[in-house]
Amino acid sequence: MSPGVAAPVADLSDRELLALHVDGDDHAFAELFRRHKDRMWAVALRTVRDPELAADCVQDGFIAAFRRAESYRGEAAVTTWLHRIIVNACLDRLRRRKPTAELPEYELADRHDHHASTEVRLDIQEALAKLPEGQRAALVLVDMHAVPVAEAAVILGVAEGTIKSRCARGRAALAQHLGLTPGVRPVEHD
Amino acid sequence: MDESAHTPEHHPRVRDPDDRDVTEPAGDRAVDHEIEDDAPPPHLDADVEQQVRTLLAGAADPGPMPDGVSERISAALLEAARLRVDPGPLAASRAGSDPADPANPADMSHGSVLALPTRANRPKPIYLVAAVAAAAAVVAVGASALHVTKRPNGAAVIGDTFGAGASTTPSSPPSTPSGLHIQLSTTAYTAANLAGRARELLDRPGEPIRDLAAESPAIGPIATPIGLEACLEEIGALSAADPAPDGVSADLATFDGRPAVVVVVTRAGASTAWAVERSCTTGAPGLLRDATPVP
Repeated sequence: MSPGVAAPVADLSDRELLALHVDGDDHAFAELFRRHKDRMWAVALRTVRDPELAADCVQDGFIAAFRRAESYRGEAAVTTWLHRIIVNACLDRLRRRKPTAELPEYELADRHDHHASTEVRLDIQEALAKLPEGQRAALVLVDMHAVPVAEAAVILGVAEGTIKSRCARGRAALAQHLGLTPGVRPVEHD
Repeated sequence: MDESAHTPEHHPRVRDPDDRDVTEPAGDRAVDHEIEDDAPPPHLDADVEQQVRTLLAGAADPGPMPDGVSERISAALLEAARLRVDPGPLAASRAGSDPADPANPADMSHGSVLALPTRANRPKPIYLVAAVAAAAAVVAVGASALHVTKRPNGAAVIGDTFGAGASTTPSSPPSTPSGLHIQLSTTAYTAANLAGRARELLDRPGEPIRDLAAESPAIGPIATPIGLEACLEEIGALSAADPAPDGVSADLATFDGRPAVVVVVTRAGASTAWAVERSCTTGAPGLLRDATPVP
């Protein structure tokens, strides 16, 4: 985008850009994409754990947002709206690929060295992948992207209490997987 | 804009490209395996919980969206824009207020690349003159935005951005011996194969890039006639002292594994290729491979 175009567009707020896009402006949505693509990519990748699938999810989401921007009425931040669309696209893709997600039977604890941070980080990614979609989505938003619980509730379309519950369950499962609660059986998910 | 304009914001029934609803709140849809949400969560020691939260917060950042993904999504958005229904007289009037005003980005957006201001203080390459002429012709018949490129064989390719009502071909296509072709491809150019692949670009060009793709942030101004012109001047491929080129082709691809643009300029039957960074512009050529004769 040439400097003469980028400068004024870059000064606009997300809401203004979306309004311009609805009015037919062809540059506004490109700026929104530029601003938020990295964050949406991170959310999608952490949610689906597969770069190819994440790319599909982000594309689905941005295309849906592009086409249906008029459905945004300004009651939430544009980023919240975008998050919701992207996360929903991720969940849809995951369900299409794997109709149900469930926690596998974990080995009992004490198989990890708590000081091996690299290993723990790899393990936490692995454990995240095994969480039910809703729990993983809640943890990705709240714990990994520092999204407030109330906003995560809007993004995922559930009550705040549900977000808290999903986070609590997800953390418990992760703790067990990482061996932080030795001797405790994993939570049953059936 | 369409039927979804009447849907409530909280539960917009929006269909994604594969007819899936992705803007409906996830919580209203099946997360059936989490029916235990209402049950008391398992007890977790506060210190352990904090440890897990810290680990999650410190988990490796995936980093920025890869260029390839960004470009792919940009292209998809461009296609969506191409199919977009004309938003109506409001946007049209804005676009038509002064398409040559460089201070008015909205105008430039609707006038597409062809409405970009030209540099009045020096001779203009003939292909740009042709492009502007084509723009004028299409604007005259009411198209709100359009895309014009020229195949190396001189055949004009004109596509509208908004589809219905704008799918017009100028009644008097520009008559010019020059050709401008800009495309996006996955061709992996290297120093070793540049000449051969450049020949293939001339002989078998791909689909021309859409107008909005040319101005997407992920691609850069080099995909527009003005941006490409600035780059060509900077690398010495285009100057007022030289005769106007017979054809210019640009392929947004990769060179030695990195995003790049291969440009091929043809004069008097002889073609020369350059590989440059996509940021190539006045004062910053980003030259990756200097002039290479094309067989």
